[in-house]
Amino acid sequence: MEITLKDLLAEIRNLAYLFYGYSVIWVILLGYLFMLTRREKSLRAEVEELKRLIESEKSVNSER
Amino acid sequence: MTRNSDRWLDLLGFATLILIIVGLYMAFVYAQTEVNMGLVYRIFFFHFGSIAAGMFAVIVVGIASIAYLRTSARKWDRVAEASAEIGVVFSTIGLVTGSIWARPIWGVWWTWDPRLTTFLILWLIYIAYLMLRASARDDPRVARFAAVFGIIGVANVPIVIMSARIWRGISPVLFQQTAEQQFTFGLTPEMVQSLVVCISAHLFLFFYILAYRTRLDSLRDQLVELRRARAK
Repeated sequence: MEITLKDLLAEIRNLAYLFYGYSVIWVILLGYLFMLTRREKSLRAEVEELKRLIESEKSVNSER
Repeated sequence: MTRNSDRWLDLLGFATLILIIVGLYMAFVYAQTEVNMGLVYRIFFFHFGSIAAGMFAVIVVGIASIAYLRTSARKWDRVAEASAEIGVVFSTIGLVTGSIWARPIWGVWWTWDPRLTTFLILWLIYIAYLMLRASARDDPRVARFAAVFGIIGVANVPIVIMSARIWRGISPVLFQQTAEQQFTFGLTPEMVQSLVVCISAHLFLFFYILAYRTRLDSLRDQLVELRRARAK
């Protein structure tokens, strides 16, 4: 089967669109997962901080 | 969060990763190149997987919303909200990859084809759902209203699925009837197998992210309780 220059250019263009398509998938998915891990990190830090504050306030109140 | 549930989450994550790797291999190597569309058609496997996961997420929103209205249990509200968020992510991927696929095949980035239009409407409904939830996250009245909104949104799912059959557009009808009255996907067996694996990978990924996202909501609830305890 003869492959013309036109066919070759069309395949190169198809490859580019294939690359863009899969890039979009990974960017959106990984971006969302990254956002979730950051949210978890921030929540855990806030929870630990509040627990620490409540403990220190309890010990100050019990000393009084 | 118990160690047991952490272990299950890790196991689910590992299974998801394996399925994604296998799916990628099948999409790029195992399935044959389509004669008319060439290499670009390989976007189809993950495009359709994302669409399937997005629609599944919408169904989960509907079921969780019904359960919340019946029981008023906070966990169902959390599942509905998390599902809607994940559904929007997968649907966005589906819309964008569909557009990228359409450009070389149909010559346009977008067309008001019935399937594309009904899917866009579904996406907009869930964007509106998330905006509603963001406006007053802890208000039970907003949660109930959002649950009703979520149930109404599910009604759009069969419309999206049947749209290509009811209103003939340029979107292909995936499940076709042959001259011998047999139903077929219009794909080779290798393509069908690759599609099944990719859809499974997306569904596993949906469940993994759902479990992780609901864990974050539990953390948020814990934070709210601690703030209340400190205020007292």
